[in-house]
Parts: sequence; C-alpha cells; structure tokens
Amino acid sequence: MHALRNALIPVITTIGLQMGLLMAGAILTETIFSWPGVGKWMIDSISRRDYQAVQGGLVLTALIVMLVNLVVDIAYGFVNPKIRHVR
Amino acid sequence: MTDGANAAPPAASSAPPRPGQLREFWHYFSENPGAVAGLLVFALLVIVALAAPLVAPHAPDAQFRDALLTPPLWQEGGDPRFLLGTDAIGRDMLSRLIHGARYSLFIGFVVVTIALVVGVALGLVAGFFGGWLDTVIMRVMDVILAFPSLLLALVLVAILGPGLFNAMLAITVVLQPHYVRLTRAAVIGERSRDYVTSARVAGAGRLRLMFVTILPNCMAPLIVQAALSFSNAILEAAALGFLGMGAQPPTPEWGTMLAESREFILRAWWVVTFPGLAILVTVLAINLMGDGLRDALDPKLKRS
Repeated sequence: MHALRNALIPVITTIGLQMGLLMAGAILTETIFSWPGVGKWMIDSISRRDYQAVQGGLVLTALIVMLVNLVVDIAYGFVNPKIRHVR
Repeated sequence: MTDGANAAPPAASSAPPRPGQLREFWHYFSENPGAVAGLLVFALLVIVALAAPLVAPHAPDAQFRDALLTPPLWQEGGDPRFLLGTDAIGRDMLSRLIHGARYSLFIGFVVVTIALVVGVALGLVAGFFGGWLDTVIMRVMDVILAFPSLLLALVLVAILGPGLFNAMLAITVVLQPHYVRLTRAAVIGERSRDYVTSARVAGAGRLRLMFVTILPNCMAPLIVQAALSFSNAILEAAALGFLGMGAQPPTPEWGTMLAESREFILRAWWVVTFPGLAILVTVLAINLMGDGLRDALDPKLKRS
C-alpha cells in the first residue's frame, strides 16, 4: 500500500500524457477499420471541406485531453496528500 | 553541458571543443550495441537515399503492365526483374521503397532543421529575457502542446491544403514546442551560473551572451531531442500520407504507398508489408541511435 501510492505518481502522469497519443492514434484506427468515431468524422469532414466540423472535432479532442490532465493533477492530491496545495 | 561548465574555467564556454571530446563521446556511444546498430542502419539508409537513381533497378513510376501484383522473388510466381514484387499497376516495389527513403529522410531533415532553429531562437529569447515575453511565448507553446500532435498536424494540413510541403510545415509547427521548452529550461539553468555573470561583467553584449556564452552549453539535450524527433517527423509524415493529407499518390512516399495499397492486404501481402517494414526499420534505427546519443551526451544519465 505504501509503496503503491508512491509508485502511482509517475504512472498517473504517463496516463495523462498518453491520452493525447491515444486520441491521435484513434484517427488512424478509425480510418483503417471504418469505425464511425470522431477521428473518421474529422477525416471525412476535411475531405468535404466542412471546416466547422473539423474545428468542432479539434476543440472537442483538445478539451478531452485538457480534462484528463486536470483529473490527473487532482488525482495527485488523492494519491499523495503531501503534494496537495495548501492555502 | 558536455564540456563540463562547472569544472572548466569561464573561458571554456566560448572555446573550441576539447580535442578528446569526440573520442570520449564515441567511447560512450560505442558501449551501446543498439546505438551502433542504429547508426549503421541509418548510415546505410542515407547512402541508399542519396544514390537512389543509381541503386534502384527501375524508375519509381515506371509501370510494367505485363507484371501486375507480381509476388517477391522467393515466392512462387516471382519475377527476377522485381526483387520485392510489384504493386497493383506494375511498379517495382524495391525501386519505390528506395526512392521513398529519399522523401522520408528529406522530410525528417527539413522538419528537424526548421524546428531546431526556430525553437532555439524562441527558447533563448524566452529564457534569457523572461518577463512578459517569456509568458507570451510559453503560453503559445502550451496551446500547441494541448492538441494531440497528429490531430493538429492534420487540421493544419486541411487548412493549408494537402501536399508534401504543407505536411512538413504542419509537422514543424507541431514539434516546435518541445525545442522551445528544452532550450528555455536549459537557458534558465545556465543564466545564473558564474561564468555567465563574469562574461556579462566583462562587457559581453546581449547577443554574445545568448549565442556564444550560453547556447553551446545547452546543446546536449537539444541534439538528443533532434535525433529523437527526426523519427517522430518521419512517422507523422507517413501517418499524414496514409490519411491522404501528405504526399499525393504518384509520389513514392512510404505512408502514401501504404494507403494506396491497403485494399490488397489479403491478396498481395507484399504491397502493404514492405512500406510498413521500411517505416519500422527507419524509425527503430533512429530511435536506437537517439538513445545512444542521450546516454553519451547527457552526464546525468551516463551509466557509471
């Protein structure tokens, strides 16, 4: 338990960083296997010159990445009470 | 940081490298067999790419209408003219792969050079002057980092229009923030060192302080990052090409080749497998080489 808590910190950081890579990888996977996801939707929108949809997809993905990283930052406090921000 | 700014006298920062430095670097580099193997493969790729018209058995866009989808030589039905077989309209795979190495290495080289120059300049300015300039530059870089890299490159290419040049431009923008952050961190670390203060007291101007005094001592992490993002650039260019946003079809770029032959994966495995293997081997070789560079250049990670 004590070891796990301390070992979790870099793991959580990596999860946050991997999120962006996953979202980018999803584009390729969805295009290859024709899955109707955000990535395929964006690719199709690009080829239709539907820039509003592209913009929406981009902002959505960026929001998800930012949210995950926010959760990661909050999770630090739960995992290790020492690094909670004290006012 | 390689020439040990803390051990050397202040003047060492602007002096030419020590004579034994290169040998010492090679000593640490050659300790790592993976790195040497990576270097060999990379050197081979560069030679093949430079000599592409001489090495390749056919022109990359020459079509042999009598030999569509010929299997590789060692398989049944193989043709001795085509070592790795032909694709759906009878173009020789080996020649296309060899010419594709040119595109991939060219992309990597151009992207890394532009990103390095612009990134180092921005990072130096941000780290050296600090204040609001630092804040503005770093926030812009944070915005770029918030987007998943491939996604941002994709959207940039979609706005600029598909093509090899625009793809390179987009990848440069995406890889930029890493250089800026690395340079800024290193510059801030070096700025308060004694040798910088003494150079300032001795009357060195701002530009001289930035480029001659501080920059050479920040190069080690930048060289490592350059080597590692070289492979990243190749990978992203291949991904963009695969999505139809990079090099356009007749170009023998590896990602584009993958995309146009995807439908043949069950009938003719060689059309899809070889471009993929080429990307894999190149990226692996460069990554191994970059790891070796990091071990050799970064004193903190040096293994005893």
